Amino acid sequence: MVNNKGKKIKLFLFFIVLINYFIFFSFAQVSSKDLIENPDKYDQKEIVYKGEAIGEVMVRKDYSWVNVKDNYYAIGVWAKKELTKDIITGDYTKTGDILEIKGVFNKSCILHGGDLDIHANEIKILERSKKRKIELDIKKIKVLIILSLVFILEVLFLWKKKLKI
Amino acid sequence: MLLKPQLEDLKVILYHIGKISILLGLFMFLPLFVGILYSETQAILDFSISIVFSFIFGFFLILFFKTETEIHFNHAMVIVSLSWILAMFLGAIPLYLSGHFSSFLDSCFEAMSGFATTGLTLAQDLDHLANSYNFWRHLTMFIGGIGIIVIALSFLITSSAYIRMYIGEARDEKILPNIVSTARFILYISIVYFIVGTLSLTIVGLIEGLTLKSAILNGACLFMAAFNTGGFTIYSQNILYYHSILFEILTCVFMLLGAINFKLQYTILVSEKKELFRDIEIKTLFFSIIITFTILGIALRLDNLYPNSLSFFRKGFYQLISAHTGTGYSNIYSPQFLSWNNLAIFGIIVAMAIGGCSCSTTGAIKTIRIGLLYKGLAEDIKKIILPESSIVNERFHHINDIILEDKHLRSASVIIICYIALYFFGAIVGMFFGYPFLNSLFESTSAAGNVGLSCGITSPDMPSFLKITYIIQMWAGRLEFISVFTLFGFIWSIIKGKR
Repeated sequence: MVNNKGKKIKLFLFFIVLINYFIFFSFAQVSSKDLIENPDKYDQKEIVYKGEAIGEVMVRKDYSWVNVKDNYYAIGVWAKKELTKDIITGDYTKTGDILEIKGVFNKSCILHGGDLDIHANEIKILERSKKRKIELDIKKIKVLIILSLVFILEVLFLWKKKLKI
Repeated sequence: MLLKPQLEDLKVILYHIGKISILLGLFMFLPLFVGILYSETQAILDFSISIVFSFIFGFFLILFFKTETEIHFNHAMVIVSLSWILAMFLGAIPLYLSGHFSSFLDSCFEAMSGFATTGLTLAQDLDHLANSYNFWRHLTMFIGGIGIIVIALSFLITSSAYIRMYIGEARDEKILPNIVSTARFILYISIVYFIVGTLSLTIVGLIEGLTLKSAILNGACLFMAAFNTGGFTIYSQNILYYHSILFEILTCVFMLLGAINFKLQYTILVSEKKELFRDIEIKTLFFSIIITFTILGIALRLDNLYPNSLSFFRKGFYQLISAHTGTGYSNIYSPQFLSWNNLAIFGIIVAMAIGGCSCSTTGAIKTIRIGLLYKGLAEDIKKIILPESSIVNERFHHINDIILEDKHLRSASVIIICYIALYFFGAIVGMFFGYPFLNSLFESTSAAGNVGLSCGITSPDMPSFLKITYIIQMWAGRLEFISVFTLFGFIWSIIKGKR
């Protein structure tokens, strides 16, 4: 009896996951290149867009802008403030969160002065921000030392010759 | 008879090139300071290498070619044109070391684009570029916008002979009685505008949700690129990154200020306010904006690309002002230009080809030359219509009332022809590599007119020969040909001249 109930719950959960899966993938996942080069195809349609959050989250009253870049271009995503509050954006020191955005694509948004943008309904953080590997190049340090020595010799030579610039 | 240059001629040129090299090295201390501020160790190292290299090169030339010989006109012109090539090479070093450029040629392209205030970019992964490199990219626009020689005149002046170089950098007007005080005035007014501009853009940045540190950096960089009609930004999306009408309005104001003749601005500020409505350059600029905007408006309306008048205005007018002032700021993506019809593209090309006023930071043909040509045409028509006995004297107002003479028309026509030839030269090279005519002409005009708008041709993947072509176009376009032709003549005289 208990086993049967457990099976039913599992089956129910499986269907819930399956339904969500289909809902999720019923949105077309597209790249920024697709969106920018074929805007008419996706205009006013629900899409799934994936990329790295770059720059910074710009809060505008109850909403905010976050620019999300995939392999090609960065696109502005307009979302409720709550959806973006945990997002860490990328810069020189770190890569930004990898986001999955579900929302409506606008080839020229009426609300935002004709901007090509996405109005997000859902934002999912797929990967957290990582520190970028920035290592000092030993070769460059050697080059700097050699150049500095040459420069010092040159200045000494100039000084010895009492040459005015 | 063409004479081979003497050793003394070469010494004069190389000695002064040495000085410019040191000046450029000194400028690199500013991004180095930004690097220290943001603890960007790799950038600190890269800028240190570049500074030391610039000093070694500069001091080497001074050491071996020190001379007291006076600079002649042709020396001055050669020094100017070579200074800009030197600036490109030295400016490219830290950019190349940053690792954000696929080759040294790409970083040279970026440096020339910066110094010539063009704004076309080949930077890769711009959104992760360190602040100090970004500051350097924008500073090159500030230096190039004011003029390398103008800055040299302000700091390194030791001889009245430098004055000849001022003309070689496409500036032939004196604001104050002498060239040195004029150069210093241009530098001071640019610094005053820099402080005011950075402050106002920082405030807008804070309103639009940037953090204070970021707002200051964005403000400074945006101002340097807007006022110097450059067009670089910190982010790959250009102005679209900010999604802000306030940023668009403010950058429009700075673009226009950078495109208006400094002498005229001085006259308006200190004495005659009415000059703004009387000057031939401003009138021509105004009419040209109206005409090109009408063309663009009709074209965009035909395709109904934008849903309402605000969108149409924000996208259409912004692109037009950016094109006309030679800035290259854009709030649309490059491939979106391709969705515009040919008439709209034509309107933008015409605006880019004309440019702003003389003695400003803008490139291209410039409105005064178009105004003079129009006056010349009007004079000829009057001569045909009016009785033969009547005397026709056309006048134009440029700070003062001036009678139109053949020499004005001749110099205007020569430069216009040179620019048109340069625009088409780049377009032909573009077509040679398989790009369509209109796209090639768009990109070529953008490079030669020092604008920076792109319809997508400019990218790290484009052919190297096309990159070199655009570098030459940016250089020749910024210097307005005379010093470039003198350099070619000088090289020719070395090869073919008689002793």
